Amino acid sequence: MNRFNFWIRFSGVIGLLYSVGCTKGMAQVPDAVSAKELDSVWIRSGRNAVQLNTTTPVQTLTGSRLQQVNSFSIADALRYFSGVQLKDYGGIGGLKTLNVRNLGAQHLGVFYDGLQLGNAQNGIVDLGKFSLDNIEALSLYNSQNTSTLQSARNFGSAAALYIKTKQAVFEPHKKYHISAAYKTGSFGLINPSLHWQQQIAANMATTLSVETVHAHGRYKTRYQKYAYDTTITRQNAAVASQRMELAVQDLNKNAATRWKIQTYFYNAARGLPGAIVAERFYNAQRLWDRNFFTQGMWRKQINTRYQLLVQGKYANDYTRYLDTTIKKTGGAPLNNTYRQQEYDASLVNEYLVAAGWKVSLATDWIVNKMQANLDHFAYPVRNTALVAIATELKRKQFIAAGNLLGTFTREKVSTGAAAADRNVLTPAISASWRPWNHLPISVRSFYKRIFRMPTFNDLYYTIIGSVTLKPEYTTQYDIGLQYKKSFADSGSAISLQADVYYNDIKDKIIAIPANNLFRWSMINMGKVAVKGMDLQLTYAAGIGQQVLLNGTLTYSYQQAVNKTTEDRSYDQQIPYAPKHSGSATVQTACRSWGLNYSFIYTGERYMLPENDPQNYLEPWYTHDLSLTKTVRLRQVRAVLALEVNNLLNQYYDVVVNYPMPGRNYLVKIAVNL
Amino acid sequence: MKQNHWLPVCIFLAGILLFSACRKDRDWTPPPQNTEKDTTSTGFYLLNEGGWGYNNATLDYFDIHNGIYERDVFTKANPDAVLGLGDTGNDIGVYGSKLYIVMNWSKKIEILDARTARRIKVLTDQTHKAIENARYITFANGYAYLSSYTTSEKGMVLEIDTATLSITRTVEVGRQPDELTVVGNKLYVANSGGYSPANLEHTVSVIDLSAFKVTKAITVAPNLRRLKKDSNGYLYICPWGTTNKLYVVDTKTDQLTDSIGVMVEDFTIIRDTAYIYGTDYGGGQHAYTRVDLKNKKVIPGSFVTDGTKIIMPYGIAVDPNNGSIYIADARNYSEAGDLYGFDTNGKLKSTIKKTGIIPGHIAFYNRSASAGR
Repeated sequence: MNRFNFWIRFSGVIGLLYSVGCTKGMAQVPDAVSAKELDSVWIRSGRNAVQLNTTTPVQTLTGSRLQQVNSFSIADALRYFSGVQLKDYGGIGGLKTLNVRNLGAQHLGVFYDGLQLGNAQNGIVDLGKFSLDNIEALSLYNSQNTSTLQSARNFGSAAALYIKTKQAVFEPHKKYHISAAYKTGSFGLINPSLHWQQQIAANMATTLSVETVHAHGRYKTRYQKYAYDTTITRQNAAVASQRMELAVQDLNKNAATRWKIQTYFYNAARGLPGAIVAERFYNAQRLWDRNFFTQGMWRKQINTRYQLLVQGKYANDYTRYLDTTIKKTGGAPLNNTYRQQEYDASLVNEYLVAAGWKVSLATDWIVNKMQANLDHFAYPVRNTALVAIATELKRKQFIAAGNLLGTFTREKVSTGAAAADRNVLTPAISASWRPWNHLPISVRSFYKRIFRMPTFNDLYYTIIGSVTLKPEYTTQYDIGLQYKKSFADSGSAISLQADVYYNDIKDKIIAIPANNLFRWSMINMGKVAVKGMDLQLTYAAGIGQQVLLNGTLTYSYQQAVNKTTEDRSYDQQIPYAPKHSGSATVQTACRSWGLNYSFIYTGERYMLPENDPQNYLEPWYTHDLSLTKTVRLRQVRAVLALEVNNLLNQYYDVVVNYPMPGRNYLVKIAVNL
Repeated sequence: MKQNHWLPVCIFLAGILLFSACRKDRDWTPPPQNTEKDTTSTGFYLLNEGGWGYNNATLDYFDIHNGIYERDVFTKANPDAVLGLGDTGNDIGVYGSKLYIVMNWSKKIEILDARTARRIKVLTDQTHKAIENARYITFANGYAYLSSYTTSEKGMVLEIDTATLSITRTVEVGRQPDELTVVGNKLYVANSGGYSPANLEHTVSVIDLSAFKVTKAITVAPNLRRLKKDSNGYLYICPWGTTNKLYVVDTKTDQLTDSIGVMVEDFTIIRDTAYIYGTDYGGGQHAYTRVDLKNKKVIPGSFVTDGTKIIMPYGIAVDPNNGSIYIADARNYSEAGDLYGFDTNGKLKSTIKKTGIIPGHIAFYNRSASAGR
């Protein structure tokens, strides 16, 4: 009852504010933000949601849509895509990974400005630590981006997420662009950030982006069952992090030579609040992360047909895990440190055979090293050579792409046995066909077979690792259609993409937390088959001159079942895979005001392989609301945003016993000059 | 025109509200399973450890006499226990009319009325810091003795008065102590040192119960875990996966006297016969061996004689009433376990499918006989 009262009251207030804003805007002579300017941004971002004629499904969040969905990190924004599950351990510092079409988080390649963020230790990238403040676009590809001008590694994962940072674009007669933001709200959040782009020469720009996050991370959660009803405050969830990025790049988009060098540094200290279980509402474990990478890109159009792309990267990661409840000899607490280095070099040759037909040869060489202060640690070194031959053929109504990827790995360890050498060839093909010229419908399909290597943790972790683990193979088949229609008279647009797919996963390694959040125990589920459907509908419209509307609706059906014949859970839905899930967002703008609503739904799931009542997890859904106001004073544009997340204060877990926050607030002030 | 634009939005919001209305808290009470009655016996409690972090440890009761297997009796008896029995049940024991459950990750000792499974008292890390990371429990002379890894370097043995249910004395022992037992006026505890794989413990600590002081450390083998006694004053000790041996300590001299070559993971001793299951670590093969403890000789052949396939033996008990052998199968640690009962000839006589997650610890108790008290 209380919840509803609050909700009604709250929506009333928002509605009032909103209508006041609108009428005021109408009464005023030209408001700072003209409807036309907004219109173009809105419609464009609405259109960008579906790129017609891609041969593999891609979902993109960009521009104002990205900035206005309620999200603190990249991870939150990705929840609005179809066919994905965000595995979220809750709270501001909680680990967040993305599982695409139930292939598992380790099958997702995450690319930061074109180069992959590797993690040979556990194969996952924590998406919760990437801020949205300096991000221009997020694109999620099932299978892969089929471009021929990309490193071989882009063909090496079952799904790919591209994080694109804000590009340097300057208005005429202005040599800089500065945006500063300050976020605060629930969890004791203090989050200032600065993004500064400066043109330092006619053809060169630098970008500096800095950010710090500080939060105590505490929130209340409630457990009610049988005859008990307890409210618990989530403790030891504090996070303090700093991020700094620096980029230097050329500015001339039409030049034959293009280049960019960038450096990323991230440092964080956080508490690991652990699972809430009987009599244990507090855990004292702590984690420190330090990630550094520097990468460079150089692209040269040698002649009209031949193009060269050279990329290089060095990454250095450090993790420290402290558990003061475990004392080793001499009384020292368990203090594990892990270090990783990655060297990545790539050369891509692209050749235009004929108009609309490109072929390329990409060769990558990657070295991964890991050290840890564990007893009997193996100190693995992995050398990976990747060779990809790719082609893309574009005709007016037909696009086809294909590649063959060769993966060659060699591993060395200082103690014990190393994993066997692997030499594997894997293919991918995709095509898109627009049967009628006058109808904006196209049909597409892809097939891809790829594997992921077992991670260093899988192979060499002192207690749980096993060098005999087999690589995990995935085979994907997908067929879908795209439809997109713009109505010139009203300025509205509608787009739809629908895909049905079948994924087959062999030798799947399911990770279930063991001992603590940072260590895993491996269950080899053997075989998993996923039958699914993804739907995505977007709608953008201008209503009259004042109101702009942008809505998206996604729905996913996933039947992901265990096909391991010796298991009793054969043919049952695998843990944490909902059959039904979806999201809905509605963004409206009225002159300088914006109101956004989003809804996320995850259907019933099971926490363990057997679909029995004791493993049942009930559905959860959240309603988020945000209100934004833009103010323009001469050259300065300020945006004020108020976000309310989990409006109905639903207590739910994404990962069992890792409670998610109830209703929480975020206030954001951003200034652009 | 304008209404037309808003209409889809309204329909869609209405749809969401409808959609949201269907969250139901599903309760579950698995029905009791019926098996054949066996009037030669009584019954036992089975503790299912549950998955780590899942908070799904459960307590089952197998009424062998009436052939009824009842799941999750703790929750039924204690609906007010916040978050239930808890996480990672590590040991169970009956002493007098009380049932003691050592909950490792939930940092508590549940003391229940053995007949009703109703909670009498809970000892937590508020009672004593060492309850955090408690491991095994044993009983003698009106006291319960509990081993704990503690949160310090050295482990501890705690003495609990079973009349007042309060902690009376504590003593520091080796690093990460596991199983313990009392012979005469001495308590023996196996130290593992498992937190430091490069520097394992090798000893059994001997505690004099009058002074409650460690009087001796007997060097046995690295990473000791299991420790049980026979009726002649001998201790049988085995490590966690370091050697394939069962070590023998004579409590009269407190000396390591013998070792028996046998694959051993866990065992139980009844009428001076050890019933052992062992694993060849890595190969996935399990052996079921008996050892005649009077002669310290392995009895040839498997005591499971009918070839019953057990995926992952995780607990063993022999019925003191009729010699039936029970083996709990943890399967793949994520599916519900199974429980197999064998007669004295090693032939399968009862199968319970779907116990809780990771069934591992058994304590015999006759719930129905004491009903009249």
